Amino acid sequence: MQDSEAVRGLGPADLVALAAASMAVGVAVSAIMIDIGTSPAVVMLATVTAFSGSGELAFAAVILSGGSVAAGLVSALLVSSRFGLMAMSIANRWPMTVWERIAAMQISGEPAVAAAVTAGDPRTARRLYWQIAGAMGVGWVLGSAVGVAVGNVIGNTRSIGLDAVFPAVLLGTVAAALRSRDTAAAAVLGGVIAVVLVPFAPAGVPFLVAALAAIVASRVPAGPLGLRDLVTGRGRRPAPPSQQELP
Amino acid sequence: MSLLALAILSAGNAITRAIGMFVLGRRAAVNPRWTKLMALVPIAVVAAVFAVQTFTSRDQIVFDARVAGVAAASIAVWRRAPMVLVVIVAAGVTAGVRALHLAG
Repeated sequence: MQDSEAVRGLGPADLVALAAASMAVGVAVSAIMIDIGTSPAVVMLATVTAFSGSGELAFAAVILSGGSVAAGLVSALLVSSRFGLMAMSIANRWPMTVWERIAAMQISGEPAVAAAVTAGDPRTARRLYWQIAGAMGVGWVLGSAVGVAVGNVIGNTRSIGLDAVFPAVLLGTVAAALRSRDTAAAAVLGGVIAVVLVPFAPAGVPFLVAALAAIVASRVPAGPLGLRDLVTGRGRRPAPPSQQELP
Repeated sequence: MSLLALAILSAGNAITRAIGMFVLGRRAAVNPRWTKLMALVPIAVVAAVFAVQTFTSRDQIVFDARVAGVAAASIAVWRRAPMVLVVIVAAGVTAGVRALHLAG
């Protein structure tokens, strides 16, 4: 766990890439919100106050399929409920004033939280969190402004492969954590639970149920999980006592 | 979305986030047995978001071009490529697979 090598630090190019990807999502989401009849002012306000692209998309999806505003709101709130778990996860990662807590919880996103919880020390966690959340937040607001002002200039986000970018970024930020048995168990179990539930549960609920994987995984002892360990069966066990006693 | 609907959504989101940050997070701070659990919850949730974004579309389990893009990106992650390269590989391979009509 105490291993931040997956995110050894993010250079300007990395942050620009994250901001650009986030910006493209902002353009697409806000264009859809305008399409369902939302006023430009409300769309821009939503970008900052709701701060949940997935929540806005969930609302739009319900409205577009003929659902009521109430149903759309329930769906959006459920989809966004995982941000409560995200805020909980970073609450004790580094010392924060009340104002920093409020700012951090408002702009929390999975990539920033993943980097912060897998960082080796509180200072690194704090720096990575604000770098990633900041870059993606700026991109999100700028993109939303573009979407409101000129419509969807991106076109089909699928055709540029944007829908694969966020899972890839998440993988990049949690990769280091997967080298320990307990975290790997949490990740695999959480992922499988969520995917299996998607066809049956309302949107957003699979994320909450997946969080329960942590309870099971917390019973798994921490320890290195690597191909080398699997091949040799040796891992990082302590040396036999007889060898340790030698001068 | 009306201004009222936005206000409800924003307030709901803020309450959810505040419960996480100020209630559940604080409780974890005073209970050491929760520490390990708190470290594992985000891993499980991030993995869930990853899996849902990679293997599902709306309410269906789907294996499409994203799987190829994410698989290629995972090689970049494994080879410890910088994030910018991970992003470019993921988008490039996914877009390429779709352009060639190999997968949806």
